[in-house]
Amino acid sequence: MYSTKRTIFAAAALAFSLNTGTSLAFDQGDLIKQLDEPLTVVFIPKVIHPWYEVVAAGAEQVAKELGTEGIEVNVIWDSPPQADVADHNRRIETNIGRKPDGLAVSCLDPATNVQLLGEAVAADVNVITFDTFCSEDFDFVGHKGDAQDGADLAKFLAEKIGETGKVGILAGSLTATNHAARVKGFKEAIAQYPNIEIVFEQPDDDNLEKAVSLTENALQANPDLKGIFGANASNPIGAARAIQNAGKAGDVVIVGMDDLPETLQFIEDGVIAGVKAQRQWEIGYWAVKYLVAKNQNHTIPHVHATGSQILTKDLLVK
Amino acid sequence: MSAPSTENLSRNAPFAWIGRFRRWEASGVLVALLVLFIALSFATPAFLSQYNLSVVARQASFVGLIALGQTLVLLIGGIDLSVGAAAALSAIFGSLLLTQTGIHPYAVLPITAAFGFGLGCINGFFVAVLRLNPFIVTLASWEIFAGATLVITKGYPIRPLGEQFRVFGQGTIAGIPVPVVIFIAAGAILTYLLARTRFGRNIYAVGGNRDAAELVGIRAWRVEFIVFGLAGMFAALAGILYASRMDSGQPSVGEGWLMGAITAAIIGGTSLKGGQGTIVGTIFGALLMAVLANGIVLMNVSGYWERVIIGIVVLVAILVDLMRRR
Repeated sequence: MYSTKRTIFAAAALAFSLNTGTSLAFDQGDLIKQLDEPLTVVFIPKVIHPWYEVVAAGAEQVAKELGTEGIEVNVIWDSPPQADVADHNRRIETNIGRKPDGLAVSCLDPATNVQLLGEAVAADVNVITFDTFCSEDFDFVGHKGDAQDGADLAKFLAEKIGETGKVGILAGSLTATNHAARVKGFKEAIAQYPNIEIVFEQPDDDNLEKAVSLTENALQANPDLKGIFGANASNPIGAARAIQNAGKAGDVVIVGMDDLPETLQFIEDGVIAGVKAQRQWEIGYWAVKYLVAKNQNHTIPHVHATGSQILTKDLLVK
Repeated sequence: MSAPSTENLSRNAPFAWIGRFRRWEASGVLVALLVLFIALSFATPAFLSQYNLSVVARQASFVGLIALGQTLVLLIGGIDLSVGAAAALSAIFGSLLLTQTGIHPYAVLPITAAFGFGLGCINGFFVAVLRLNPFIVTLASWEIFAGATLVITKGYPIRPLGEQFRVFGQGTIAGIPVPVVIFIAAGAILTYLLARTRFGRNIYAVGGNRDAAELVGIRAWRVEFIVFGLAGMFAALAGILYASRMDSGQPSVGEGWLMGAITAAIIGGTSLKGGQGTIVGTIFGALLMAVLANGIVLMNVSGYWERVIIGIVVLVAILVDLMRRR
């Protein structure tokens, strides 16, 4: 009896020493999971919009690159035809059900999206938020400095109009928090210039036609308008069309967001003075890369700020 | 309704059954629903998962509740464009009630429903008492309700609504999501109401021929007034249940629900001219729309094509309905 016990003890001790032996040679690379099955990554943007086409191009590029490394990634875009909160949430819910390897969501309505993204995480779906930041609970790839963008554009606009005169704001959609943050940043920065007066601020609902008519009305009411700030991608274009039709191109300084093709054309033609462009190609690229990395058991940065820059005619010529 | 061939058919029991089914307003949408359901079951394994089915049913319930109210309005020959905005405004009202007054969470549901009934009665007053065109009246109230929501909230959601309140949107009864239970229960009550009560028969009478209904002593304005109130009430129920589901009173929530509700009613066999339609058809219609939308996501149909497909399905449903009537 005693001897048996001793043998077992000895065997256990031997096993233990062997075990420590291997753990000394612990290879961190073993923690990385090999991927032998194709991965599915689903993107849910806020709405069908040309802006996301550039994100998609970045996502496609990284999928191609990973393909050459032997990792097959299917990127699926599930885009709401209209920016409708209920429809957007329905898509998130449905996609949790099919358990993709990665789910990238641009928050349309942070409050309700957070609830569903929490449910996705609870169901073991790898979640990343992109484009619009909604909560510290989830990893994020994109541009977070909305208020800063507004402030930067305010300074840029103030310089262009010689720090004096009347300016107007196309405020975007009242329910979009990023639009609201840009407007807030813009107004706070403009407040530093005592000779600049904000004469109108109207929501255009991210609707180009509405931005055109609002700008036309603003010109009627204020023939001496010096500048217009647009809080999203569509309203600088709307403002530019209205200003060009009124024959006032160059007299009214237009600043706004993003680098859609028509915006770039207007910048080249000198109708739009400058826009803050987000680097959304990068957003798509890194979102896919990080979601694949999550599947491999890598740790990824909690927030990857992709930044933004002011695009002007001078920059485009280069 | 009864064609001469009915009597021939009734001699042969199985054929009579088929004939009755064919003449039933909801038959077309039921067949479409079954075909789609079976096709999706084979096409994608994710469709039949319990999670997915409960998600689809719950999604159908929100639009479905609104569609129930819309069906009543369509039955009297009217239309209510303000339901989506009424849902959002009621959800905000309920959320404020919950967060500002410390009222018991269970009391919020009936009070919000009553609030919605009141909103609907505003429409009812203009349509039934002042005899204005329902399209124009509800177009105006749509703007007013949606605007009031933004005035109150400035676009910001009201959250969180609290643990206890979430049971309405997130809880289940015997494995079935609570909104689905409420939707089915409401559907059952309305079906009974329409088929077995004088109020129900009056709705069909007013919708079929208002003047004739008044001649036989039905007070048409009262029927219309109550129906618009009910439409507001169902909108409020959908709105507050969705708020509970999302734990957030959401100012922009009802925007997409109006067309979904009208579509559900129409593909369920409800006529835009009034007097014709069933609640069961609307329930199937709402389910069909939800299953279709779910299938589009699961089958990876491009978002660009989605609305085209939904439009085609609506057209097919109307064509099937046309063939049934001839």
